[in-house]
Amino acid sequence: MTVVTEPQVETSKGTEGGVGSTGSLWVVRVIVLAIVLIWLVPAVGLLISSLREPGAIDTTGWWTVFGSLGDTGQWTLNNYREVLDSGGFANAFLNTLIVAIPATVMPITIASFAAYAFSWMDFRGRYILFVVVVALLVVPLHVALIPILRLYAGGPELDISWMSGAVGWLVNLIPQVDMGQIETVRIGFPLQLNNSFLGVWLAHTGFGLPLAIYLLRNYIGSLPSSVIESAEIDGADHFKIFTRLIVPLSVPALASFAIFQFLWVFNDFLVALVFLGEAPQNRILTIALNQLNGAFGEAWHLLTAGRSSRWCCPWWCSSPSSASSSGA
Amino acid sequence: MVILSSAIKGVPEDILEAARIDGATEIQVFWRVIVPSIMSSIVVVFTTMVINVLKVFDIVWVMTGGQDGTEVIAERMIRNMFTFRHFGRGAAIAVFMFIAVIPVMYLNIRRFRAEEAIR
Repeated sequence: MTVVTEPQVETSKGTEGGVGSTGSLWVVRVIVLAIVLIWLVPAVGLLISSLREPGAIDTTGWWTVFGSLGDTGQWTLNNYREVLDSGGFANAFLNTLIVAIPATVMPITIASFAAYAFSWMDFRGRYILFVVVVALLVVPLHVALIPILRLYAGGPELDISWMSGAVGWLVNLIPQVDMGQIETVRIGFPLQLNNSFLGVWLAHTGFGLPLAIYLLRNYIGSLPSSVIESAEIDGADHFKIFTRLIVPLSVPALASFAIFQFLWVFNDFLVALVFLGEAPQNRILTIALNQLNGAFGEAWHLLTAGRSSRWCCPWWCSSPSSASSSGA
Repeated sequence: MVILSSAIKGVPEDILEAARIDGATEIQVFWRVIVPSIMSSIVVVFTTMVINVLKVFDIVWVMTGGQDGTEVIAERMIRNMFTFRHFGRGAAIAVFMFIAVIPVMYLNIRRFRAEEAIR
């Protein structure tokens, strides 16, 4: 939010000469500043809490430090020291990147191909297909967890007992086969994707794809058709048009979706907990933080420090993230 | 919000200036020039927000648990599935939600068709 509002200030600065009303400009500035402040309050509170003693956090609110700013004894770095020494924190950070980077690249790759197909290739039923893909956004991912978990554990199982009539007729021709076995036949092979990085990548890809296809379809569909037509006249096939024209032209949309998806995966707790588990070797940062907190939430002071140190990555990668990770 | 912001920045500066030279006030520039030219982004944000609101469940679940007439459709689906273990009923509600977004998607498709007709 902070980032969104900052450019607005710049735009209004740019239009100042055109209108010549400095009064309205100040109104805009005050409103923007108020929004920024409101959005920063929780983040600042978290940062201040992370620098205070556990006892002080439990007894007084973080805003009380403003009453005694001169007292340097109330600040401490022990929370950060404890978090970083707690073991496995660096490993968890690495695991987060291992999860987040492929889980950002995979949906963008697939979705940009799909968006190109939906907007520039003419095939039967593409509107229906598009509606189905995007309408799948409406199903909350929580209801998909159990089926996907079963799929990962057992592989694609297909109950073919409804075919037992035909099978029975067949096996009657071969009288040695026992009929009782045939009726419960399931076709399947074990995927064993639970607790693997591939499993969590695929889960994030699946959950991110509808939104990605929708956003990219909207952008790629609005590219000028003259460019694509002239490339077609010059003899470029679909793949060449996609790699040489569509991808370079849609970099802004790709980048904005990459930021969305990366932040979503970076902040995600539920999907990683279900598909990756809490084992020390493959737990990610959010799960490590949850374990730091303790079973009864008694180590709140560590949570604030861990949370604050988590920001360094999104801050480095993109500016909108500081607001989002504090809001999450 | 990010989408709308980037769309507004994508509006070419010269048509804004042309409107201002013609004597449009800043509010008129916004409603008559900027909003029509970012209409596609507005529809995108509208669609995603409608879908997000339709499937909101965690906030309701945590705050009121669907008590006192605050139950929403996604929360009812989750409750049927996981609390009552009635997967068929939960799936039926999911299908119902799927049908509920079709009008919004129809709006989108109509806009895509119009866009493709003029390009």
